[in-house]
Amino acid sequence: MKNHLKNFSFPYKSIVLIFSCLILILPLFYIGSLSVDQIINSNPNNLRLLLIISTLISSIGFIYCTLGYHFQIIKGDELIFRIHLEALNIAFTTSLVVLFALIFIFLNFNPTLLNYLLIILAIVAILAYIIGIEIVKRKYR
Amino acid sequence: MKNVLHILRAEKRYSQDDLAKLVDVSRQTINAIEREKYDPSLPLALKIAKVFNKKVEEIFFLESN
Repeated sequence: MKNHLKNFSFPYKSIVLIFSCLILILPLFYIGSLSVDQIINSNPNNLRLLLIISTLISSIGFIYCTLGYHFQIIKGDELIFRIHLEALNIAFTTSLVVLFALIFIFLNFNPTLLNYLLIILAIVAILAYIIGIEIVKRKYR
Repeated sequence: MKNVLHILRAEKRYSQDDLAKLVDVSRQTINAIEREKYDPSLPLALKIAKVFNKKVEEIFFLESN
């Protein structure tokens, strides 16, 4: 069993990633296509269930892709693994600094923006990782 | 850490790509090692030493030595 897991190559990662993104935003298009009357007259639990199911499926997809790309990098070239780790370090430090800065700014000036903190942080972390990769690559070139 | 990888590679007439395939890494990794920008892991150093039939310390050594 352990060997099976060790040799599992997580196939179709890109397709799963695209599928998860689509499933995540599909309810938005569905709800957008409904008229106001249809939404008012419908059972709110149905809409809630739709959102929960789509989020659950896409979350499983994202976890699968994360594990897949993680093991792909670990099993692959060691320099790429090193670059990945250093870029993650940059992304994590940047997110932490931005988190404290945003909490300070939002709490003092606009508390309602705290609702968007996670989304902003996620975008900052992804951007910091991409920029970090380019910076670290230059170091080893 | 210093190394004489490029000399050994030239002696054997291996390209960076050939050596990379022999030790199962990318050409960029071999290039980074030769330019002393990246220190290889112990397993990779051992693999490289095995390819050139030498001891690890004959290929990789500290600057002070």
